[in-house]
Amino acid sequence: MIEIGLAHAAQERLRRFAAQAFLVVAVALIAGCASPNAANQIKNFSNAVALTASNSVLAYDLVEKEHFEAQFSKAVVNYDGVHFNPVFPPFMTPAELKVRQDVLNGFTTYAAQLSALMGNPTLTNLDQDTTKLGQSLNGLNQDLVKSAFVKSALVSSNDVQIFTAAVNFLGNWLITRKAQNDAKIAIASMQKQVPAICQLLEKDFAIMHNQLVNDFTDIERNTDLYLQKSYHTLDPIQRRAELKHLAALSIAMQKADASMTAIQSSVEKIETAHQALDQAFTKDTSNLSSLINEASGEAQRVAAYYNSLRTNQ
Amino acid sequence: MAIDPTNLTAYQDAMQALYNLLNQSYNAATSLDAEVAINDLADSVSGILTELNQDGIAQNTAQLQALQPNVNAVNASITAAKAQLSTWVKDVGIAGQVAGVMDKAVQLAGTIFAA
Repeated sequence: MIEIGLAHAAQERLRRFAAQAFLVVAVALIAGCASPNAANQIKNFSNAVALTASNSVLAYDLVEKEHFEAQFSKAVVNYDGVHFNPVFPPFMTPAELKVRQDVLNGFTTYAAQLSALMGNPTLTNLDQDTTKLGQSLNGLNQDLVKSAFVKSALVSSNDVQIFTAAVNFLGNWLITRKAQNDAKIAIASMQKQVPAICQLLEKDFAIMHNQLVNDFTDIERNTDLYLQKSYHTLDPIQRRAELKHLAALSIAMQKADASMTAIQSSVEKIETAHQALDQAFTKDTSNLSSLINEASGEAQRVAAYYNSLRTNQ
Repeated sequence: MAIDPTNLTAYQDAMQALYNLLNQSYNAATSLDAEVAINDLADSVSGILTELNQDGIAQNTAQLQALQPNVNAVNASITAAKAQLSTWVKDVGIAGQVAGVMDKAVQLAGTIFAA
């Protein structure tokens, strides 16, 4: 009797274990691993966001570099042989740059968290500094956005208000990320916020683009004038080097111009892909797949441009 | 100093148009001296455009007020340069366009930065 009782208890434990295991598998499937295709789509989206964000940071660096070069070229052409004041203010202050980086990091972390919820391995440590970043974004107020992030007549106070609310929401989402266990719900909750963030980033890039082209134009004109003024004092090798520099400047400007157009388009495509991200949970993901591929392709083209800059340095 | 940002976008557009035309004028300049003069003016206009890209938010009157001395200085340079355009630029068509945009930029600046 005792043996029969023990066997029965063991069977009962096994049945309970099997039921619990089934429940765990079912929850996992419902929570995100519903289809390997969905997980893959969201992983690809997350990768495209990460690449677009890293391209954006490189674009800010490029704008700063050329802004410095423009001021330097002006100082060189105006140099009177006596006074030289090599202090050139940056286009953006470190605080202004940090706000942009925080927003991009927040967006990248959100996309990485979505991918993790779908069961994909994460390349970044989502715990490290994420809460701090979330608090920073949650604490961003309109005055800070006005003074540090966007500054143009192209941007209305309404844009600033919507953007700030979206960034605060994103910050709060990052703080409470451990309670978020459903990618589908997370995507739905961000459908208003992501366009608000992307659209302001696009406007910001339009301003950066304009500044970059103006700075390149200043550099070209000042370099040309310097060459003309000093032509007769340069030896043939120096003249050749200066002329080569001018020719290279023209090509560099065309490529930088194209890269800024591509980065604006890249942010726009990320926005469009996110709007369609819930399609990852449907049977037909061809439209979403195409949108993510477009965003990813654009981001890869921009990344290739920045890689070429590094190689040529 | 009263600030009315209503025409700020139009002013930025006019200054950008002037900047683009000055770059064309540089390439059509009559002499090295003319190039130097046009380059100086283009640099000044570029400086205002940079400040507008950095500080031009329409609601921020404090930043716009800080911009006013530079705008006044550039307006004076534009007005002085307008009288020299025919001697600086070979292409009469470009010179005419520059003069027109100069008038527009100075006039729009006047509506924003009332003395």
